[in-house]
Amino acid sequence: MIEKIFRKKSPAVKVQSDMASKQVRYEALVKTLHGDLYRYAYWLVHDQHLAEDLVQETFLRAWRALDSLKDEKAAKSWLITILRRENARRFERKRFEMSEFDEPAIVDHLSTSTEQQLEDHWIREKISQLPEEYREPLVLQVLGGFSGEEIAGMLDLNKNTVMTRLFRARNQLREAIEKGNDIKERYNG
Amino acid sequence: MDDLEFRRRLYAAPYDKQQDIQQALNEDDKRKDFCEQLKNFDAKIAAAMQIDVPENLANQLILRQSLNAHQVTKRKSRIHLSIAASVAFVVGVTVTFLNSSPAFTSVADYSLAHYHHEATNFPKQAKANFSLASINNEMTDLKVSFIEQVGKLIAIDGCFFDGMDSMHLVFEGEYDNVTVFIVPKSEHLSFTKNFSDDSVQGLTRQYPNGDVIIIGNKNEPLELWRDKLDNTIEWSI
Repeated sequence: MIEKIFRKKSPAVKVQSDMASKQVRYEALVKTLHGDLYRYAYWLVHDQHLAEDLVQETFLRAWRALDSLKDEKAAKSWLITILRRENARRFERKRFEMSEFDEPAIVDHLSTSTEQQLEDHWIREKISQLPEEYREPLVLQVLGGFSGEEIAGMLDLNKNTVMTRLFRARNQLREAIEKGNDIKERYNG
Repeated sequence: MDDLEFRRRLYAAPYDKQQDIQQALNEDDKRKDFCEQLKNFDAKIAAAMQIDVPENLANQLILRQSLNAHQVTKRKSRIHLSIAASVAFVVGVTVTFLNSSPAFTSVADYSLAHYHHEATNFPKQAKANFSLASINNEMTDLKVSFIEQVGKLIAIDGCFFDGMDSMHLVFEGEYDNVTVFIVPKSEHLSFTKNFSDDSVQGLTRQYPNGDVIIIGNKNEPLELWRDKLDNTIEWSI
């Protein structure tokens, strides 16, 4: 009888410990990657609240599918893939809510900022003005540290296209910033 | 590698570690400078991209997940409970139904089965002389009585008519025994006025307080029996 009870209980105990280890995994994942993911989401949608919502949704989905993540090294690209899908879904749901040309909401307090912050602000503005197809690979490369092949895999493009877009992204940014510097210098002079 | 190609490659990936790029870098100091500039520029981009992450985001993510998981388990256990309850309910209903529901659904089927089961037990002729009082005495439980003798009675006994306390009377008929069942009102058996099978026929007569079923040989004038019973039978409350 006692043996029976114990035998009955052991799977439940196992489930609980599975749940506990899943919880540990999840929390580690959140702690390591939530920043990267949030920034990626931000550069994708240019809105802090939206980015936060996206990250929330992404991690909820990640929790449900956590067992399918076998390789922890692939966690970041896995999460980004989920986030991109979530973002696409958002467009299916509320296609008319956000205009594509909404002015990006970049929060910065110009009055109290240092020169470095000013420069960051300036570059941020330029980054967000990049066409999305150029910006996304750039964010993945610079922020995510992914290689051309990896980005190609995530965006479902071939590698040459990705490299071309990366080239154009940097080229446009550089030109824009140099032009900006010229203007700034002219004002200063 | 020409200059244009070199620049394109480096613009696309300033930290390209591939051999041809590294070689091109070592060939020319200008290229090295250019690469340094680009890396510098990339560092600026990277710095600009490092926007602030909301302070509590990680904690929120963990909290939201645990709330969600909690709700899911609660919902799951509720579903399990309700499934178990439904199964128990269905089992209960089925068992009750099977236990109480008779195998026969019509009076005709049951009467014939009952008749054939016992037909051989009765002699063809009445040997004992039943007094009207003794007959009526047998039937008091059913609250039914006869005003006068109906015919030559071969046997009278209480019986279970499909689970109901009933009377089983066997009379001497013209061709063969005539069997009369007097049964209390039932709801689960459907009544047909006339019925028959290969060897016998039967008819039924319904009263407000009970029913009478008469079975006999195919040639037996059962209507006469019915009319006679009609005139003789008396139901009490």
